[in-house]
Amino acid sequence: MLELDRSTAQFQTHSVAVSSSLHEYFSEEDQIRHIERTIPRVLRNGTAAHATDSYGIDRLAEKEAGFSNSEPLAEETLRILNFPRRHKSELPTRTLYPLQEWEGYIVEIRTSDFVARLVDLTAGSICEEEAVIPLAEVSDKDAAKMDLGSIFRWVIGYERSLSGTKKRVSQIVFRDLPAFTETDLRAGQTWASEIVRLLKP
Amino acid sequence: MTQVGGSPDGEEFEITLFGPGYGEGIVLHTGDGRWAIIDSCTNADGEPLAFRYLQSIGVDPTNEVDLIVATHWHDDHIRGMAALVRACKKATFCCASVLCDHEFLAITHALEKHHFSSIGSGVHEIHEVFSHLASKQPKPVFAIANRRILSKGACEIWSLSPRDSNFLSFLRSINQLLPSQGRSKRRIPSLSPNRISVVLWIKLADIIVLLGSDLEKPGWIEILQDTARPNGKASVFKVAHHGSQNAHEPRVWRQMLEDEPVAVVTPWRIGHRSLPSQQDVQRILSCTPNAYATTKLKSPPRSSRRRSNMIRRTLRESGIELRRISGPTGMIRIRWSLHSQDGWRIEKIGSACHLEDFVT
Repeated sequence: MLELDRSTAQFQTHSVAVSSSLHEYFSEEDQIRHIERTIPRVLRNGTAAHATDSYGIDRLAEKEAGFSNSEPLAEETLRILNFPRRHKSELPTRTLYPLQEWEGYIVEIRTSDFVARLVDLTAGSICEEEAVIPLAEVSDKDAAKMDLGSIFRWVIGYERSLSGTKKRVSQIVFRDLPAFTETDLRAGQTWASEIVRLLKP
Repeated sequence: MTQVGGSPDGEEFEITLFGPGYGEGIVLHTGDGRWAIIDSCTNADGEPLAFRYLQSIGVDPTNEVDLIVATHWHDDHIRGMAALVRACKKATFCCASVLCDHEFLAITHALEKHHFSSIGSGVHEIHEVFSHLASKQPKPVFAIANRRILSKGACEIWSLSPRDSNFLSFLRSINQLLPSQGRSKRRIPSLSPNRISVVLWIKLADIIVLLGSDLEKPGWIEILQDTARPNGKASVFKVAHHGSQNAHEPRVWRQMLEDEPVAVVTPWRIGHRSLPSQQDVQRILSCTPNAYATTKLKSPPRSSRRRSNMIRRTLRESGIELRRISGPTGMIRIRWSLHSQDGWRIEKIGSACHLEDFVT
């Protein structure tokens, strides 16, 4: 219990130091995520060296918090620790209210537009529609991901800005694909062996 | 569905080809109230067209279909295949042997389980079919060059392709398309040239039908060089790969088909690309005047789905128009009787037309 109290106190000090340093660079949510990632490593290793990012922010925060010589805690203690979460800001955030969503895939790419087949997720339809979509509708970052067969999500809706203003938006986002893992392939091999055994004499 | 009349007599044969502009399917009456279905496409409600057609002429597909063939795994030939296989409980399923290859199955499973998309695909249909067949009788038959896959009464069905030698290159090509870290999620695109399509040679009493599937030229050359294929020339030809030049081999018309056979093209459109082109139409008509298309393939109609004013306004301002992927269903139906002197009867149903009237 003593250890728990000490850790909590250390965390609070640490989080204040880190968040003040991060403030200029990251949103509040990013800061909270960063802190939650960093603290367990600090407690385990007695140093935040592994969590240092390119800004050197963790080292600075550690020094300010007088935290660098803290003793590593036992595994058992780490498991039972439940770090307090910072309350999210009450300030308004940017929010998207989708009115219409499609999932689509690219069937043709031309110089100024692309052709996509779409299914209407809002209507829950399985029947495809086709649309010619200007490339201007896609962000530069997502445009780099476009390829024949690429799958994307298209949302039309309202966006409420930080100041409370409401505006119509159309957003196309290409979905990143996780690479096949050993587990994926092993599961595939097992299923395939069973099918071949049952179906191929 | 358009009014299509009743089912054929027991001694009457029938072959009906569907092609709404994206997708194709074929039903075959092999005599005595027994049927086969080759490939699958769906209507606007996502139902397999072949199934709906058979029901509409008074046939019970659940009990009267003996064989279902998936000539290959491309979206436009396999939509609704899993539903068809589940519904036709008495039917034997047939596909190219390579689709039940261990490596290909492992890939389909991994894609299905961890790279889910709400959009259907050929990979999804194949995975569904084999998952279902694992616990079902009869077991599937696998098509390779020169294998008889059905023999019943006056009907024999043979597969003329693919050859074993094409399997390895197919698997290598698929392997290169597998997902890798950092790439956007994508569907496995169609491979070209298509050399693993199943071409069917069908003998119905004294009439031979050749169904070209999507086999491209290199595959046809292999069939022509094969001395073990069944003898005889076909009088009805489903033109390969939607009439495309890349599937045209003049020797097929000279060596495997009767003079001026009945030829049927199932048009295909995706984005700004469509088949057959005007040159393809002219070329096919120069081979036979008896050529038909299952649809005129005018620009597909606008989407009829109701959407709010706000959505319509956003689409209009972005210059985006949503269209259906295919037009109304068209079909070419050919029926002939064992004992009739009248020859066959060709019906153009729905948006089907003579190839001379085809509009790209």
